[in-house]
Amino acid sequence: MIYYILALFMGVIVVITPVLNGQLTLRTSTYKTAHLSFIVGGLSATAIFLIFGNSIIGTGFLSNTQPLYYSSIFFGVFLILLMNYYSSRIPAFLIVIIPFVGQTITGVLVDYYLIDKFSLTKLIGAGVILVGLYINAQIEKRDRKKRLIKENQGDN
Amino acid sequence: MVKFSAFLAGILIIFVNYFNSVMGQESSVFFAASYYHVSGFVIFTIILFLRKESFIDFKKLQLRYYLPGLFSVFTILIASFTMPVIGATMLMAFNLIGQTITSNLIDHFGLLGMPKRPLEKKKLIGYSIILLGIIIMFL
Repeated sequence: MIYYILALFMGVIVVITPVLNGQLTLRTSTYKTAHLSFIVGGLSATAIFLIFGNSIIGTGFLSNTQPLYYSSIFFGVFLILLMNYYSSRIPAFLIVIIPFVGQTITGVLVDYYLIDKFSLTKLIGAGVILVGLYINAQIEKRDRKKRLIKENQGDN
Repeated sequence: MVKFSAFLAGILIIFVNYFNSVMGQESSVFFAASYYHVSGFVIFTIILFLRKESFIDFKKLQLRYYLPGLFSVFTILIASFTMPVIGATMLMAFNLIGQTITSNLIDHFGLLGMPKRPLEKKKLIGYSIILLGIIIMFL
Protein backbone atom coordinates (compact mmCIF):
# COMPACT_ATOMS: atom_id res chain seq x y z
CA MET A 1 0.00 0.00 0.00
CA ILE A 2 2.76 2.44 0.99
CA TYR A 3 4.42 1.90 -2.40
CA TYR A 4 1.28 2.99 -4.24
CA ILE A 5 0.92 6.07 -2.01
CA LEU A 6 4.55 6.98 -2.72
CA ALA A 7 3.96 6.50 -6.46
CA LEU A 8 0.92 8.79 -6.15
CA PHE A 9 2.96 11.39 -4.26
CA MET A 10 5.53 11.24 -7.04
CA GLY A 11 2.76 12.32 -9.42
CA VAL A 12 2.04 15.35 -7.16
CA ILE A 13 5.63 16.57 -7.30
CA VAL A 14 5.92 15.77 -11.01
CA VAL A 15 3.19 18.38 -11.62
CA ILE A 16 4.40 21.04 -9.15
CA THR A 17 8.02 20.93 -10.38
CA PRO A 18 7.47 22.18 -13.97
CA VAL A 19 5.06 24.88 -12.73
CA LEU A 20 7.71 26.35 -10.43
CA ASN A 21 10.56 25.73 -12.87
CA GLY A 22 8.52 27.28 -15.68
CA GLN A 23 7.97 30.46 -13.64
CA LEU A 24 11.67 30.66 -12.80
CA THR A 25 12.71 29.99 -16.41
CA LEU A 26 10.68 33.01 -17.56
CA ARG A 27 12.71 35.20 -15.18
CA THR A 28 16.11 33.59 -15.72
CA SER A 29 16.92 30.81 -18.23
CA THR A 30 16.30 27.09 -18.74
CA TYR A 31 19.89 26.21 -17.94
CA LYS A 32 20.10 28.37 -14.83
CA THR A 33 16.86 26.79 -13.56
CA ALA A 34 18.12 23.24 -14.18
CA HIS A 35 21.45 24.17 -12.58
CA LEU A 36 19.68 25.42 -9.46
CA SER A 37 17.68 22.17 -9.25
CA PHE A 38 20.85 20.13 -9.37
CA ILE A 39 22.60 22.35 -6.78
CA VAL A 40 19.73 21.94 -4.30
CA GLY A 41 19.29 18.27 -5.25
CA GLY A 42 23.02 17.53 -5.04
CA LEU A 43 23.39 19.13 -1.61
CA SER A 44 20.27 17.56 -0.11
CA ALA A 45 20.81 14.09 -1.62
CA THR A 46 24.44 14.03 -0.50
CA ALA A 47 23.39 15.11 3.00
CA ILE A 48 20.76 12.34 3.09
CA PHE A 49 23.32 9.82 1.78
CA LEU A 50 25.87 10.80 4.46
CA ILE A 51 23.28 10.55 7.22
CA PHE A 52 21.38 7.40 6.18
CA GLY A 53 23.76 5.62 3.82
CA ASN A 54 26.92 5.90 5.92
CA SER A 55 27.20 2.25 6.86
CA ILE A 56 27.46 1.25 3.20
CA ILE A 57 30.53 3.38 2.44
CA GLY A 58 33.69 1.32 2.37
CA THR A 59 32.10 -1.99 1.46
CA GLY A 60 33.13 -1.66 -2.16
CA PHE A 61 29.56 -1.16 -3.33
CA LEU A 62 30.61 1.13 -6.15
CA SER A 63 32.08 -1.79 -8.05
CA ASN A 64 28.78 -3.70 -7.76
CA THR A 65 27.06 -1.27 -10.09
CA GLN A 66 27.54 -1.85 -13.80
CA PRO A 67 28.95 1.20 -15.63
CA LEU A 68 25.83 1.35 -17.84
CA TYR A 69 23.67 2.45 -14.93
CA TYR A 70 25.89 5.46 -14.28
CA SER A 71 24.65 6.79 -17.62
CA SER A 72 21.27 7.64 -16.02
CA ILE A 73 22.35 11.27 -15.66
CA PHE A 74 23.03 11.62 -19.40
CA PHE A 75 19.54 10.34 -20.13
CA GLY A 76 18.27 12.76 -17.47
CA VAL A 77 20.01 15.79 -18.96
CA PHE A 78 18.88 14.81 -22.46
CA LEU A 79 15.34 14.47 -21.10
CA ILE A 80 15.40 18.03 -19.69
CA LEU A 81 16.65 19.39 -23.02
CA LEU A 82 14.02 17.41 -24.96
CA MET A 83 11.19 18.63 -22.69
CA ASN A 84 12.29 22.22 -23.25
CA TYR A 85 12.29 21.60 -26.97
CA TYR A 86 8.88 20.00 -27.45
CA SER A 87 6.76 21.59 -24.69
CA SER A 88 6.51 24.91 -26.52
CA ARG A 89 6.18 23.34 -29.97
CA ILE A 90 3.35 20.79 -29.72
CA PRO A 91 -0.33 21.33 -28.80
CA ALA A 92 -0.84 21.25 -25.01
CA PHE A 93 -3.03 18.13 -25.09
CA LEU A 94 -0.25 16.11 -26.71
CA ILE A 95 2.26 17.09 -23.99
CA VAL A 96 0.76 14.47 -21.67
CA ILE A 97 -0.47 11.94 -24.23
CA ILE A 98 2.61 11.33 -26.40
CA PRO A 99 5.10 10.80 -23.51
CA PHE A 100 2.46 8.56 -21.87
CA VAL A 101 2.46 6.29 -24.95
CA GLY A 102 6.27 6.17 -24.89
CA GLN A 103 6.24 5.39 -21.16
CA THR A 104 3.63 2.66 -21.52
CA ILE A 105 5.45 0.78 -24.27
CA THR A 106 8.80 1.04 -22.46
CA GLY A 107 7.25 0.29 -19.05
CA VAL A 108 5.64 -2.92 -20.28
CA LEU A 109 8.93 -3.99 -21.91
CA VAL A 110 10.95 -3.16 -18.77
CA ASP A 111 8.47 -5.12 -16.66
CA TYR A 112 8.76 -8.02 -19.10
CA TYR A 113 12.52 -7.87 -18.64
CA LEU A 114 12.26 -7.49 -14.85
CA ILE A 115 9.53 -9.98 -14.05
CA ASP A 116 9.87 -12.07 -17.21
CA LYS A 117 6.15 -11.92 -17.81
CA PHE A 118 4.26 -10.03 -20.47
CA SER A 119 1.21 -8.41 -18.91
CA LEU A 120 -1.64 -8.03 -21.39
CA THR A 121 -4.01 -6.58 -18.76
CA LYS A 122 -1.54 -3.78 -17.99
CA LEU A 123 -1.28 -2.97 -21.67
CA ILE A 124 -5.08 -2.99 -22.10
CA GLY A 125 -5.42 -0.88 -18.92
CA ALA A 126 -2.92 1.64 -20.29
CA GLY A 127 -4.88 1.73 -23.56
CA VAL A 128 -8.10 2.52 -21.65
CA ILE A 129 -6.26 5.25 -19.67
CA LEU A 130 -5.12 6.71 -22.98
CA VAL A 131 -8.75 6.91 -24.17
CA GLY A 132 -9.66 8.79 -20.95
CA LEU A 133 -6.73 11.19 -21.37
CA TYR A 134 -7.69 11.81 -24.98
CA ILE A 135 -11.34 12.55 -24.19
CA ASN A 136 -10.40 15.08 -21.50
CA ALA A 137 -7.79 16.64 -23.75
CA GLN A 138 -10.45 17.14 -26.43
CA ILE A 139 -12.85 18.70 -23.89
CA GLU A 140 -10.09 21.06 -22.79
CA LYS A 141 -9.23 21.93 -26.37
CA ARG A 142 -12.85 22.81 -27.18
CA ASP A 143 -13.18 24.92 -24.02
CA ARG A 144 -10.01 26.80 -24.82
CA LYS A 145 -11.36 27.61 -28.27
CA LYS A 146 -14.67 28.82 -26.78
CA ARG A 147 -12.79 30.99 -24.27
CA LEU A 148 -10.64 32.50 -26.99
CA ILE A 149 -13.70 33.30 -29.12
CA LYS A 150 -15.40 34.89 -26.10
CA GLU A 151 -12.30 36.96 -25.28
CA ASN A 152 -12.03 38.16 -28.88
CA GLN A 153 -15.71 39.14 -28.91
CA GLY A 154 -15.14 41.00 -25.64
CA ASP A 155 -12.27 42.90 -27.21
CA ASN A 156 -14.43 43.97 -30.15
CA MET B 1 10.17 15.34 -35.31
CA VAL B 2 8.71 17.35 -32.44
CA LYS B 3 6.18 14.59 -31.71
CA PHE B 4 8.90 11.99 -31.84
CA SER B 5 10.93 13.98 -29.30
CA ALA B 6 7.95 13.87 -26.91
CA PHE B 7 7.66 10.12 -27.47
CA LEU B 8 11.38 9.72 -26.83
CA ALA B 9 10.99 11.73 -23.60
CA GLY B 10 8.46 9.12 -22.39
CA ILE B 11 10.96 6.33 -23.10
CA LEU B 12 13.74 8.24 -21.34
CA ILE B 13 11.62 8.80 -18.22
CA ILE B 14 11.33 5.03 -17.77
CA PHE B 15 15.04 4.47 -18.43
CA VAL B 16 16.14 7.16 -15.97
CA ASN B 17 13.85 5.69 -13.28
CA TYR B 18 14.91 2.13 -14.10
CA PHE B 19 18.66 2.85 -14.09
CA ASN B 20 18.40 4.77 -10.83
CA SER B 21 16.35 1.97 -9.36
CA VAL B 22 18.93 -0.70 -10.33
CA MET B 23 21.74 1.48 -9.02
CA GLY B 24 19.78 1.93 -5.81
CA GLN B 25 19.37 -1.82 -5.39
CA GLU B 26 22.99 -2.63 -6.15
CA SER B 27 24.53 0.13 -4.04
CA SER B 28 22.24 2.40 -2.05
CA VAL B 29 19.14 4.35 -2.97
CA PHE B 30 20.70 7.39 -1.30
CA PHE B 31 23.90 6.98 -3.25
CA ALA B 32 21.95 6.78 -6.53
CA ALA B 33 20.15 10.06 -5.75
CA SER B 34 23.38 11.76 -4.68
CA TYR B 35 25.32 10.54 -7.74
CA TYR B 36 22.57 11.67 -10.12
CA HIS B 37 22.32 15.21 -8.75
CA VAL B 38 26.00 15.89 -8.20
CA SER B 39 26.82 14.79 -11.76
CA GLY B 40 23.85 16.80 -13.07
CA PHE B 41 25.27 19.83 -11.24
CA VAL B 42 28.66 19.28 -12.90
CA ILE B 43 27.10 18.92 -16.38
CA PHE B 44 24.94 22.05 -16.06
CA THR B 45 27.84 24.04 -14.62
CA ILE B 46 29.77 23.15 -17.79
CA ILE B 47 26.76 24.05 -19.97
CA LEU B 48 26.40 27.45 -18.24
CA PHE B 49 30.12 28.03 -18.61
CA LEU B 50 30.04 27.19 -22.34
CA ARG B 51 27.02 29.44 -22.87
CA LYS B 52 28.78 32.19 -20.91
CA GLU B 53 25.79 32.45 -18.57
CA SER B 54 26.21 33.37 -14.92
CA PHE B 55 24.84 31.31 -12.02
CA ILE B 56 21.41 32.13 -10.68
CA ASP B 57 21.21 35.06 -8.26
CA PHE B 58 20.39 33.43 -4.93
CA LYS B 59 19.69 36.73 -3.17
CA LYS B 60 16.62 37.46 -5.27
CA LEU B 61 15.32 33.90 -5.20
CA GLN B 62 12.00 33.14 -3.49
CA LEU B 63 12.05 30.14 -1.17
CA ARG B 64 9.60 28.09 -3.26
CA TYR B 65 11.99 27.92 -6.19
CA TYR B 66 14.28 25.73 -4.11
CA LEU B 67 11.55 23.06 -3.98
CA PRO B 68 12.06 21.50 -7.46
CA GLY B 69 15.59 20.45 -6.46
CA LEU B 70 14.27 18.71 -3.35
CA PHE B 71 11.42 17.17 -5.34
CA SER B 72 13.88 15.81 -7.86
CA VAL B 73 15.63 13.92 -5.03
CA PHE B 74 12.28 12.58 -3.80
CA THR B 75 11.43 11.46 -7.33
CA ILE B 76 14.58 9.33 -7.57
CA LEU B 77 14.20 7.94 -4.05
CA ILE B 78 10.56 7.01 -4.66
CA ALA B 79 11.27 5.45 -8.08
CA SER B 80 14.15 3.45 -6.59
CA PHE B 81 12.04 2.24 -3.66
CA THR B 82 8.87 1.43 -5.53
CA MET B 83 9.82 0.18 -9.00
CA PRO B 84 11.35 -3.14 -7.86
CA VAL B 85 8.17 -3.89 -5.86
CA ILE B 86 5.25 -2.65 -7.97
CA GLY B 87 6.94 -2.50 -11.41
CA ALA B 88 7.43 0.27 -13.95
CA THR B 89 3.87 0.25 -15.34
CA MET B 90 2.13 0.50 -11.95
CA LEU B 91 4.51 3.24 -10.85
CA MET B 92 3.53 5.13 -13.99
CA ALA B 93 -0.21 4.52 -13.47
CA PHE B 94 -0.23 5.80 -9.87
CA ASN B 95 2.02 8.62 -10.85
CA LEU B 96 -0.67 9.57 -13.35
CA ILE B 97 -3.41 9.58 -10.67
CA GLY B 98 -1.27 11.92 -8.54
CA GLN B 99 -0.65 14.13 -11.56
CA THR B 100 -4.34 14.26 -12.50
CA ILE B 101 -5.49 15.16 -8.96
CA THR B 102 -2.77 17.80 -8.48
CA SER B 103 -3.15 19.49 -11.86
CA ASN B 104 -6.92 19.73 -11.32
CA LEU B 105 -6.48 21.17 -7.83
CA ILE B 106 -4.00 23.74 -9.18
CA ASP B 107 -6.40 24.72 -11.99
CA HIS B 108 -9.55 24.67 -9.86
CA PHE B 109 -8.20 26.82 -7.01
CA GLY B 110 -5.64 28.78 -9.04
CA LEU B 111 -2.76 27.61 -6.86
CA LEU B 112 0.95 28.50 -7.31
CA GLY B 113 0.08 31.69 -9.15
CA MET B 114 -1.72 29.88 -11.99
CA PRO B 115 -4.98 31.26 -13.45
CA LYS B 116 -8.12 29.89 -11.79
CA ARG B 117 -10.05 27.47 -14.03
CA PRO B 118 -12.88 25.61 -12.28
CA LEU B 119 -13.15 21.86 -12.93
CA GLU B 120 -15.26 20.99 -15.96
CA LYS B 121 -17.91 18.42 -14.97
CA LYS B 122 -17.64 16.92 -18.46
CA LYS B 123 -14.10 15.91 -17.64
CA LEU B 124 -15.39 13.44 -15.05
CA ILE B 125 -16.17 11.14 -18.02
CA GLY B 126 -12.49 11.03 -18.96
CA TYR B 127 -11.42 10.59 -15.34
CA SER B 128 -13.84 7.67 -14.89
CA ILE B 129 -12.29 5.99 -17.95
CA ILE B 130 -8.77 6.61 -16.58
CA LEU B 131 -9.84 5.03 -13.28
CA LEU B 132 -11.30 2.06 -15.15
CA GLY B 133 -7.97 1.62 -16.96
CA ILE B 134 -6.12 1.54 -13.63
CA ILE B 135 -8.57 -1.05 -12.23
CA ILE B 136 -7.98 -3.20 -15.36
CA MET B 137 -4.22 -2.98 -14.71
CA PHE B 138 -4.76 -4.61 -11.31
CA LEU B 139 -6.66 -7.61 -12.77
